[in-house]
Amino acid sequence: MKLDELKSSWEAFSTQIVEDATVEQTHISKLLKGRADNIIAKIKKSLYIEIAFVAVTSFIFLGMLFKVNDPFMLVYSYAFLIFCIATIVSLVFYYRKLSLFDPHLPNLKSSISGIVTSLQGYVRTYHIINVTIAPFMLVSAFMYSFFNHPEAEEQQAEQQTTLFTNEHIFLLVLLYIVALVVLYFSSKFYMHKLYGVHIASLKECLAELNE
Amino acid sequence: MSTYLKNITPKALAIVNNIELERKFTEIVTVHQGIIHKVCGIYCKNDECRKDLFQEIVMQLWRSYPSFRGDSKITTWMYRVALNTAISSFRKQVKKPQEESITGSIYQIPVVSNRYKQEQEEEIQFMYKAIEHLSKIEKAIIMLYLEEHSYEEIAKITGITKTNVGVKINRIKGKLQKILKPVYDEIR
Repeated sequence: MKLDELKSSWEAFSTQIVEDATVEQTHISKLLKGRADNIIAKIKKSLYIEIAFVAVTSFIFLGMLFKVNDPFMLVYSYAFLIFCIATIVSLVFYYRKLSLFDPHLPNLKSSISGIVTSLQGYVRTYHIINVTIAPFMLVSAFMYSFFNHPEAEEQQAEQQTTLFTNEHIFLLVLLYIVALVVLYFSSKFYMHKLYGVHIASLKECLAELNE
Repeated sequence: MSTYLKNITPKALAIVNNIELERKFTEIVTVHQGIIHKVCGIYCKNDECRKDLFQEIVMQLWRSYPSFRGDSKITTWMYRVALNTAISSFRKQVKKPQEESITGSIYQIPVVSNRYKQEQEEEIQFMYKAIEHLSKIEKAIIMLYLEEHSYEEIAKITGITKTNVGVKINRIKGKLQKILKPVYDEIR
């Protein structure tokens, strides 16, 4: 079999498929009103939701700064607010970078390479944010509920003990490490489930083009 | 007339320009829509997927259109954007068929009967199924090859060297030969 033998079959196939699927100019105009559903649009949508979510949370903690008198909660709110602002800045920066990215570069190889870089960048950003903020929040919340418990406060007052004993510090460090490990793997698993197969498939295409 | 033009605000002018751009774009896409349909046909197994991909490609062409400066042929640009969209599209991944399933009927092949002789129709179906066994990149290359594009054009669209195009076409030929030979031998 020669490859050129397929040309007549291909011609018949393409003639038929084009004849069957041809649409009017008005239909194409209508399609332009739709929404793009490509991977970059999806990432931008996810980023947009994340920015909105972190912004709303920041406002809540900003409000708490004016309402709360408890010193621990004040420190907690300040720390969380700083984390939120850093997160928003990094997400907005990444969103802008993605908005400037044109997925249709001069050829397939550079386009796929650009998409893979963007996708991996997003996964990395999401992962870093999760691994940085979530364990901190979890441990801080635990600390707050643990030390602000009425019985704990009474005990501290009676025994004149310091806020942090060695056991407390050990417990907090252990809790932080456990939270970090669990969140590291759960975030990795989640991102892999969402984009892992797609990234692997695009990398496969890229490797093929680089061969 | 000149007074009328002077009264047009920049915003109104931008709207008029956009309408004109859209009209020109839809005209081009209507004339060359065959390119998009062929790409959809080769990358999708069913009508729903083909419709979705067609819309996505048209959208991507529209977004990319303002940056098209005419330094390549309009058809080359369309092939590039269409193939890029099809390859990088974030749709549910479908497993590649097993090599033995060439005679099975798992595909909704976009070929309607009664138009060709029985023999040619079978050839089209086997060709379509054989192409299904290729990777996304191989599909793009074989499509461009069967569409009579030169090695240079294929290299320009894909971003690989001309020599590499030749190597890949030979490899695809080997693959297709392996899949189709028993079928062709049976027919002839």
